[in-house]
Amino acid sequence: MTNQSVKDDAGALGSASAAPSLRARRRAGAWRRTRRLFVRVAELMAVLFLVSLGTFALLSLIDTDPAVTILGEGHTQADYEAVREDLGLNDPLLERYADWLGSAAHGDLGASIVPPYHDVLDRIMAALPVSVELALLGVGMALLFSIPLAMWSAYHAGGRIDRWISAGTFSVLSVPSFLAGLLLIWLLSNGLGWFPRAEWSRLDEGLGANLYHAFLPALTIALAETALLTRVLRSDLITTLQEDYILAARAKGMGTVHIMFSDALRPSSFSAVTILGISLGRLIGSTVIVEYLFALPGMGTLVVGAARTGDYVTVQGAVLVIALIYVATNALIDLSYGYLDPRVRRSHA
Amino acid sequence: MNRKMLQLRSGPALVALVTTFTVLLTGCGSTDKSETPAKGKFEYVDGMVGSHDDAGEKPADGGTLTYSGLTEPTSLDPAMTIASASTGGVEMAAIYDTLMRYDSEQKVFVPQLAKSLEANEDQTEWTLTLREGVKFSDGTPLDAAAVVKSQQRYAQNRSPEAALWNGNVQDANPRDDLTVVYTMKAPFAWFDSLLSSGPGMIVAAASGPVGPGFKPVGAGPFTLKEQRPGEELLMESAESYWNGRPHLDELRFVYLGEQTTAQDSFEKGSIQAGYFRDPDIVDTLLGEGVRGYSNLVAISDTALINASEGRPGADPRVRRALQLAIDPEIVRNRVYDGHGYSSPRIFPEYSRWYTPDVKVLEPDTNEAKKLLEAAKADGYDGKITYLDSNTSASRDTGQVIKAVLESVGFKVEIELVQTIADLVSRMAVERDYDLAGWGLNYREADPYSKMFATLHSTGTQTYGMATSPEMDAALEKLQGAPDDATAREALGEIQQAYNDTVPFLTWMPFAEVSFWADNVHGIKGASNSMILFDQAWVG
Repeated sequence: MTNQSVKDDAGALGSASAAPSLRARRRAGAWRRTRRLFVRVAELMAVLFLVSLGTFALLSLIDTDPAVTILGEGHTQADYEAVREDLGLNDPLLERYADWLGSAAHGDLGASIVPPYHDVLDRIMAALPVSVELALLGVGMALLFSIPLAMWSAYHAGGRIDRWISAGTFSVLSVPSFLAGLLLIWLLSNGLGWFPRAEWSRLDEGLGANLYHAFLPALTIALAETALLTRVLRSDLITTLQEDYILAARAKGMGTVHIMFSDALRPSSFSAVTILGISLGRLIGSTVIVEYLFALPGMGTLVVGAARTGDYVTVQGAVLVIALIYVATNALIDLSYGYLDPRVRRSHA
Repeated sequence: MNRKMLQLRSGPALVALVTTFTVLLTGCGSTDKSETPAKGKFEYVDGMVGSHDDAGEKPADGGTLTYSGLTEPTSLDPAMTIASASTGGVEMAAIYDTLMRYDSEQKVFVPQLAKSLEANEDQTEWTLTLREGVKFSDGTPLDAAAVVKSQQRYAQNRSPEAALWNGNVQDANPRDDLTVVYTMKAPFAWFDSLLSSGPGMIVAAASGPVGPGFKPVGAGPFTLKEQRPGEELLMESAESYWNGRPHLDELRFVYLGEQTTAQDSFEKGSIQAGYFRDPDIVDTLLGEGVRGYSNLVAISDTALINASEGRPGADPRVRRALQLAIDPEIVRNRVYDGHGYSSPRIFPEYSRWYTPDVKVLEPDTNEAKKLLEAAKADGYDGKITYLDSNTSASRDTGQVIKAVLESVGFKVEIELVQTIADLVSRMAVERDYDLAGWGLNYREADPYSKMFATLHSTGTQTYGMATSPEMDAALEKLQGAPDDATAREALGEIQQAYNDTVPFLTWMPFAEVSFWADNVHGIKGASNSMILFDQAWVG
């Protein structure tokens, strides 16, 4: 038996009668983490179940008849009815949902019920990278713009530049994304000719071409996000800059840039990171207008196109994946709080 | 307040103010109507537009041509998708070619994939002769048996023109490897048109049955390389094409949503060709002298009148009052900012089927009021609902229809449904409508096919519209018309029968145009506004 073992055993013996030992505390901590993980996964499953059920129920209210999409016009009632029967649309709603859920639970999201009958997962895997890239680029640009703007604004709170930035962000927030997109198209594409008007170039066709096509739509997304993040971050930074430890840092003679980046930014980022997470999840499924303006083949286009043809299987699958990403992103954001502020970590422990 | 303070405070406010004004100005902006061409400024023609003098130019091999389609075809199976430029016909023609092709210069159907098509004297028997050595892209021969099998597959499924085929073709028999003899149920003068459309797109046996698992295998100049739904459809040239390998290496189809997006992309050079039919864009590109292929489509923008029992349109006085109340010029000016062409006539002055000796129902609000009053005296309450899909043009059309009909005493409700599929459900399947915005699309090359389907009492696309024995007789005369003069005479009778029954409202034909850039050559026109790329090249 080594000395360490003796110490551990002594500690264990001691723990029976007094304070818990380190190992016991670790075990308890691991158990709490495992339990939190299980709870988190259970919450995630519950959310996904509710989202899928809600989507299915909503889709059943839509009038669009896939049989009409498949056959077009000029056929008899019997023809349409035969197609509906073939598609199982006459089956009870819960039965159809149970069928779909059973397959989805095994990772099979099925195939589109209207031509060209593509596998839903293939369609999602083709559309998802477009939306993810747009969302990441949009949020990335927003961070790039908003952090310096918010810092400058907060550091000079109430000053001339702060008021300019405030007015600018409020103005941008008041412009709907479709209008911002149209203005950017008018200026940067049709006017100056710097960027293409529409279409998408995939990453495998070259990074340059990809970014060339992605820049304008990403900028359209970034504008509103920049304004929002700047407002929130500025407000939190102003509060943080009034803390005693910032005063202490100043008294020690630390430079402004060091104070802003090392001492003020991290604890001021709670709200911004929360918004960032929500935005990222939201943008992946809701850039429909931007995708429409720039004719991009993302998740928004996929969901809207499928809904317009009554292809509930594709809508259902796509919404499930979007919900999964949304929930997972927000779970990651929750975890990041511990990094941003150790007090959060300790409170969990 | 000192000067400095004023500057400080007014600067940010100015930013907000300028943005707000920009938003307001953009939102309230309207088209400069001084640029609007008057009716007839453009000579709308059915055929090639712009300068096409490519004589002496040597075709260049290679390159990719990108064409922007109106809507992405849901299927590339001609048994599933209407063979028309707006629905995926251009894409399918690239893969399958067409047995016959409409030649807009000669105004006749000419052989394309076929070698010849001959009719007997009374047009009850048509003989199709195929070219020797034509193969599908999978290497199997395109012979008489393959043609018959493909057309049986077309006729036996719920294909777009199956009713027309089944209604006219008694049987089709291979006489030898290269000859198919078609026997008609009655004299049928438009069979060559049918072979330039869906039934003339021959699919190989390897394509499989209609529905899931279908593979687009044809004998056209291109084969499908990759399909990325919502993004692009990529084709590569077929080495085995009967007329030699096409000049282009690749043919790429993209779908850019709004027509204005496609127009911007075309003008910036991102796409080399594209399909357009919005009257303002067509007028703009025609005005710039851009080259293209134009098809004039009668009754493209119309409203069907449900004449079923219990509907307002069941009363012929109401139907007549509806047409008399509407001045087509008002629709053109209000909905399309004065672009396009308006006429109360089915085939207006530009058409080869124009019949000036037959009078039309010219707008007459006083007569409309009298007819409506008479109907109201018999118990009609004057209420009518206008159904359409929820698009910008449809909303505008609904508002105009409401305004002009209410000015003569109707009470109009507008109902907009979200998608075209919803509109088809309500109108064509359930027949639950009074007035419905729609397009009947009677084409210059072949007015018969669609007219029979929509106006004959046995047609499959009447959707509750009024029919009459006179209309049936005129359509049957058109069916077997041996020459243009007889066809024109029949169409005059159809116009007269229309005046008497008013099954739909007439206000605008559309020009469907595929435009292409100056450096694109060799594109051929075909039926249903389709174009063929087998000899196309980019200079």
